[in-house]
Amino acid sequence: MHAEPDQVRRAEHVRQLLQVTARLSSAVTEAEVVDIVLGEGSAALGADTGGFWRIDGDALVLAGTFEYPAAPRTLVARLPLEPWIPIADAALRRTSVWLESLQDYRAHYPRSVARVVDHLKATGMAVACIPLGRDGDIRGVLAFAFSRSRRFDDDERAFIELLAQHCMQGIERARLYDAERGARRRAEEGRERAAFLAKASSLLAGSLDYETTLRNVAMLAVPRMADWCAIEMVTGPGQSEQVAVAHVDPAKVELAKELRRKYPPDRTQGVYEVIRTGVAQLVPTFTDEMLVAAAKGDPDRLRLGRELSLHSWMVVPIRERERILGAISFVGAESGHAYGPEDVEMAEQLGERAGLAIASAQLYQAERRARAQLARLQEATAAFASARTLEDVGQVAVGLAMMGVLADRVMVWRCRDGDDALELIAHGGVPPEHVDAIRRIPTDADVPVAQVTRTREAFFTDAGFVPQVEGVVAGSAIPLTVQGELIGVLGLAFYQPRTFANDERAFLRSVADQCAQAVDRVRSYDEALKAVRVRDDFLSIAGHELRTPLTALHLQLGSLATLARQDGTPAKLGDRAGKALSHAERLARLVDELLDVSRVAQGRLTLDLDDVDLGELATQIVTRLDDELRRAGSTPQIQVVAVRGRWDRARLDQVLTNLLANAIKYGAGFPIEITVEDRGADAIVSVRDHGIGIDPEAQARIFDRFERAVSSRHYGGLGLGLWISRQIVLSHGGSIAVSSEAGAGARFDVILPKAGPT
Amino acid sequence: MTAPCVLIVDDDGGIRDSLQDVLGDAGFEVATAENGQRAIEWLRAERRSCVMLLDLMMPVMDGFQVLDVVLGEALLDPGRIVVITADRDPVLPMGVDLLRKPMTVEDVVDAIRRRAT
Repeated sequence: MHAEPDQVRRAEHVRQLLQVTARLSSAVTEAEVVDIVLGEGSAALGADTGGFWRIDGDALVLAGTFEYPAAPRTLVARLPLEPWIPIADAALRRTSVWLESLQDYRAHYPRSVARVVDHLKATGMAVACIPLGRDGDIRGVLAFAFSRSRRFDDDERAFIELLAQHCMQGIERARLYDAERGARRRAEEGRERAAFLAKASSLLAGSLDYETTLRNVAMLAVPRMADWCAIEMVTGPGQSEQVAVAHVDPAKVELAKELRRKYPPDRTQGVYEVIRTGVAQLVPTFTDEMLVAAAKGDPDRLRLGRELSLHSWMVVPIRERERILGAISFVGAESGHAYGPEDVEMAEQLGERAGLAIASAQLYQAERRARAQLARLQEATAAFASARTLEDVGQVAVGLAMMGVLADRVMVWRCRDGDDALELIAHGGVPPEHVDAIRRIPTDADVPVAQVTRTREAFFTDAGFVPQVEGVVAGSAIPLTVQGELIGVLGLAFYQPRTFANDERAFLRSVADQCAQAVDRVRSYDEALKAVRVRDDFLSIAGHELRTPLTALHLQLGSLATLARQDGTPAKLGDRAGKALSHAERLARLVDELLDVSRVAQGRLTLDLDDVDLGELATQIVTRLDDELRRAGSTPQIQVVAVRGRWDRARLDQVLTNLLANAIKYGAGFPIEITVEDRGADAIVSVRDHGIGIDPEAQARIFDRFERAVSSRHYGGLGLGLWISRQIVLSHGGSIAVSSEAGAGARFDVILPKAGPT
Repeated sequence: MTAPCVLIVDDDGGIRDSLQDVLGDAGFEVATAENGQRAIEWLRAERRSCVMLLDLMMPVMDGFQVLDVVLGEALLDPGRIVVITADRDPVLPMGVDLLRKPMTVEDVVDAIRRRAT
């Protein structure tokens, strides 16, 4: 009679267990497992309420309930792990506690009943507490309560304990699943980190402009790796500069800048410490206390700090082998990015890759800079070559140094003979009020530019540089020397600390060399110009001085010739006086040539323009030179037309006389052709002889001063005639050309615009 | 017809002598002055019309200064002044003639004859 219901109930329990198992298979969290077990178990057992407590240290924490009244739930939310409480006792003894009635309860847990009697009334009269554990490790307690007293027979006890085992397995599985999901998530994060690293590395590797690249890396880190990312680069010894900041929210960048501006960062900590030590720093969680401490009692600073909502922070060095080039900061804020050691490891890898990329980019930039400097030096050679004055040369050097190494101030001084001070000849970037102070610098002064006049060695700011000028923290002084002679100093000043790369030193030395040579050349040129001026002045004075006695001589010979023509005087006397007079005239022409040279050189060749008939002039000159032509045995062949133009009659007379005199001199014994043609806007006068000719090499220089085509031993003259003729023709806006072959005579063509000089 | 009077103003003794010889031979009455100051003193004292041969480059008082005074005080008509110079292009007052050094005897005599009439 009893067997049948027992069997039925057992079968029912098996079915219920299968149902729980089936439902538990889809449960993935502990809460779901507990819900299912409590719900199904309560239904199967007819329990009124159920609960699950998880062991948390030395307490039991309510982690799941079924139909549990609100008021007692708060009472049992956290129970001490002590044996007078049946739930705790089950856990401590690792065995189920079965309390079938209030009397039973009172008998075993009197202290508990006194405290929880109302609770019991509300939750039940019978209680089953089953510890959940595995291999003796108790994780929690499952409890069912019944509002009426009841018995728990062996079948029910077995069922409940089986149910508890299922629950335990479910919870374990949920935990494993949770752990696995965590692992998957971490693996996913790892993949993301790897992808970021790969992307950042390829950005860095392809970059030749690393500052832009660093900005891109910072942008890439946000928002995947950080809410913001900042990159600080070393710019000099003990100096660094923020080169990139990226933030999900641009307003925050402004906020950070404001904070940075108002409260300059402590340079002994954080980023600066990382740069100094090369050791990464990690703050997994920022607490408000840290912000309060950092604010140092300044409410505004604290407010700004809080507005940044910092959450987690890490800084890693950017390094190239042992060299620290900078640091990257990653900050987690609103998004809750929190960094751990894996993140630091990843970021350090990024820092190393960035370091490598920067080092190679710097190498490339150095090379590119060298190439640009080479191009600049080539331009410089041209610029120096065209500089005509010391000031021009100085300015070329100033421009080059400013462009080439971005100097803030550049100065060029020169040394003067017999002076023990440097004299400023050019400068750039020097504030006007400072110029007077550097105009003269005694060579024994205790400043680098004066020191290099003694050492003759280029100076570049290295260790031990003491700035002497406000704001100038770096500089260079390079002596300008030509063949060992010191002729000046090139000085550079910088407002930012800097070192000088080898290529920059070479560039500056090269600028100094070229500058020195240009200064030397200009100096020689000036000296030559001065010598020419002195010579022209001398010619002018000598010419004038010679003319006076020449005039007296001329007058006396003239009067002698006149007297000789009077009756009773020997005929010979008149003849000799005439010859003496013609020699005096030749002497006068030579003196005239000298005077013309100095006149042209001093720019005093002025034209007295008049209406002149070139044909008529040519005929007059041939007539005048008739005696000389005859003496030379040359027959003139004149072929002229009347061509009128605005010219200086006396000067053109001089040109034609000179050409004709040359033709007589070099073409003696042959005919000489003189032609004048009208060519519309121009008149052309040509003089052609059939004498010794002029070889091609000489043709190029016969119009130069003091030049002649043949040795002065055989043909007289100062070699000035053609030069003066050319100057006269040029001043008329015309041209003169020669065509000749050695041995075949020469032909001179003079083209004159009829309108005269423009 | 009385021979025209010629005043030679030149600081160079050689020129003064030569001109004096040439012009004397040609029948002119000749006076000389070795600088501008003397020339002006002579003109003021003599108060007679003559042709003045004037050198430009002289110490004490140069030719230009002489021209200023002579023309300013109307001691001579500009048509009676001949400037002698080695310089090619001096700027001269209207009517003043120019002889360039070195000049021939004929040049000088012709110039004086033209001015003296």
